[in-house]
Amino acid sequence: MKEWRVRPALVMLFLILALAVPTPVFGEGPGTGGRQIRLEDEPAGPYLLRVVSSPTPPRVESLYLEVRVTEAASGREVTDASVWTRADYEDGQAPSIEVEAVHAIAPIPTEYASHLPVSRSGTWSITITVDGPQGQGEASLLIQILEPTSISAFISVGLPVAGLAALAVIFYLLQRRYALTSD
Amino acid sequence: MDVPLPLTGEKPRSGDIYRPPANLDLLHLPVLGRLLRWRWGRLVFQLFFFAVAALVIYDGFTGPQLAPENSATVLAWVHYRGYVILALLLVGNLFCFGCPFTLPRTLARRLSLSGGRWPRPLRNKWVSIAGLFLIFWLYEWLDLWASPWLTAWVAVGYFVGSFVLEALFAESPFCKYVCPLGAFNFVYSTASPLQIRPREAEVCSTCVGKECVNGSATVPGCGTELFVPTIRSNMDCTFCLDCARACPYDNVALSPRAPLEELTHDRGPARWDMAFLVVALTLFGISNAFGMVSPVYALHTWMAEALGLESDGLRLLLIFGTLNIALPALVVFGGARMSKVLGGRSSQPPLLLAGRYAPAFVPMGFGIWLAHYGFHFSIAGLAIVPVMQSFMLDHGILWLGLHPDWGTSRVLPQEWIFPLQIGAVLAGFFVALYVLLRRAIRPGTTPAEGFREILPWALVLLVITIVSLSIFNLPMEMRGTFNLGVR
Repeated sequence: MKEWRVRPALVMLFLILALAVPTPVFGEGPGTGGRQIRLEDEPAGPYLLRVVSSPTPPRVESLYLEVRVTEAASGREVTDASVWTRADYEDGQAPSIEVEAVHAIAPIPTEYASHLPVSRSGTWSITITVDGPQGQGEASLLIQILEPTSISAFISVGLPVAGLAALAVIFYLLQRRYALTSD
Repeated sequence: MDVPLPLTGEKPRSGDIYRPPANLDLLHLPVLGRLLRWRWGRLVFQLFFFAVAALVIYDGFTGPQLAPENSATVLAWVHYRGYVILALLLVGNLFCFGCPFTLPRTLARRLSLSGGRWPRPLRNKWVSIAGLFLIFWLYEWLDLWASPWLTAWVAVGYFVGSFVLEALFAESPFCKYVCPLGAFNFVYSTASPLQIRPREAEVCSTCVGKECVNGSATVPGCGTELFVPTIRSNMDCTFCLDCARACPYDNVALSPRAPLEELTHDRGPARWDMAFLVVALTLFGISNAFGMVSPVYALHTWMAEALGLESDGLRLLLIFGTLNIALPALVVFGGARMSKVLGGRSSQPPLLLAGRYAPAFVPMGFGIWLAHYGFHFSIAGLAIVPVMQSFMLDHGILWLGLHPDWGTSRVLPQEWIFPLQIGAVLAGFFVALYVLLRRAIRPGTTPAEGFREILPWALVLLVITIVSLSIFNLPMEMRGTFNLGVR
């Protein structure tokens, strides 16, 4: 039988060459589990908007929006518009937030992105305003914001430690019974 | 052909082989059994998954490059992972059973000229471990989750890898020694409720042809060279059921077994590579989840500033190398050594101790992966509906409506998901402790010695649990952005 010869040097060479290629820390494309499409080709004046939110689910202090703007008439992507995102709380009193969406923080460079530090859980009305060469446009949507997750120290530390303690007790009892029977 | 030895390398002894009781044989159920035993039964499932893989490749290369809008990324990173972990929990290694990547095997076998055997030094799990490391590293480095195009290339890579190895070697080394997906499925199928076994052991003892492993005139034998009467573990079993189809005596059963029977059995794999694989997969689970929360970005920034590491790939290589290679090595080799020292006079050699106690990491890892993959599947499982609506519309097909319903996403109510994640991790930990307990109690060792032996492993599991719960408690970050200004 013939044995197949491995060339680890070739593998290492490939890895070293690959590592030499400069890459951004984080990718240029949106993720799957973390992102959700909220609006797709939504009319906003002379434009069509795609709005993607992340993470999923969005939580207090953590709502990011990415906006793609295209001209409704030509389908051409608009990259030189002024895009503002505004969040108004629907379930009670909370200060509204207005943030400009910019290319600099957008995963896809031709799109616009903003971080909205929403302060309370509940329903927020999000309004996206576009001011570009073709004129102004606006679109809205509702987004449900959740409280941050939290588990008590009892669950995250206490229960596991209790489990280990229970294991020690079981062994103690087994040892005692073993000692009694061996006597 | 020689009948291969079981994983431990020991010769099988008749009283030493675990066989589930013959209470139910799925292969002899009225409809399902006939389908499974049918010569082309597996092919039906493989064709389904092949169609899915073809869609992943086609849409990945030609479809929209926004990940949540493309079936390649949604199917691969949401549905495949959710399906695999749930199938392993509820049934068994159903992905390997329907694996589309092995479909081109027949063609590859015809092309096979050399008939060479897989090199002896690589007949272990080290290549699989390297493959797992590579795929998880690439996943983070190249943001595979974010790129339908790269995801499609991953699928192509699997097809090519399987085909080439099949063509170069006389056996099927891809599944057993190389495939990272297979390694994951093999490890966690040891906790699955179904196992292949002989219906009557006596029939096997008098069998001359051993068709289950050697193959018959029309059906190949076991691709991973498992011999049915010596199977005591789901490890390396792809559930292909070729053994059942090849057996001339219809003596192969697919039976339910007692929960945790394999994991609590005292005949674990006494091999360093197996022990390392099991422990490493648990820590892969942590590092994979760690890559999604904000502390990892702080770590990146610190590494860039303090260590001057400008390359993202190098930083991730260092993080993953530490978490997934150095740490598992420390746990396995250090744990075995500590067990030996603490266990005292009756303790066994470190290799046997690693083989004995490493399987406790299977339920722990399972819990972490279930919490992670289950999370993605729970919040985005139904996203495939609008994705397929969009795909059809892009191709001028209006069957699924004119407007994709992008609001369709969650499978479970939001408020259930986090408690279920916490429950999965804690359940994994408690079951792991139970596995340690069962494995520690054996003849010739006092309970006190057994407890001292498992103490290092139990403490590691405790730390893993607390760290996992802390990670899952953190909100998922918006990945793929400018975070912290480090680009």
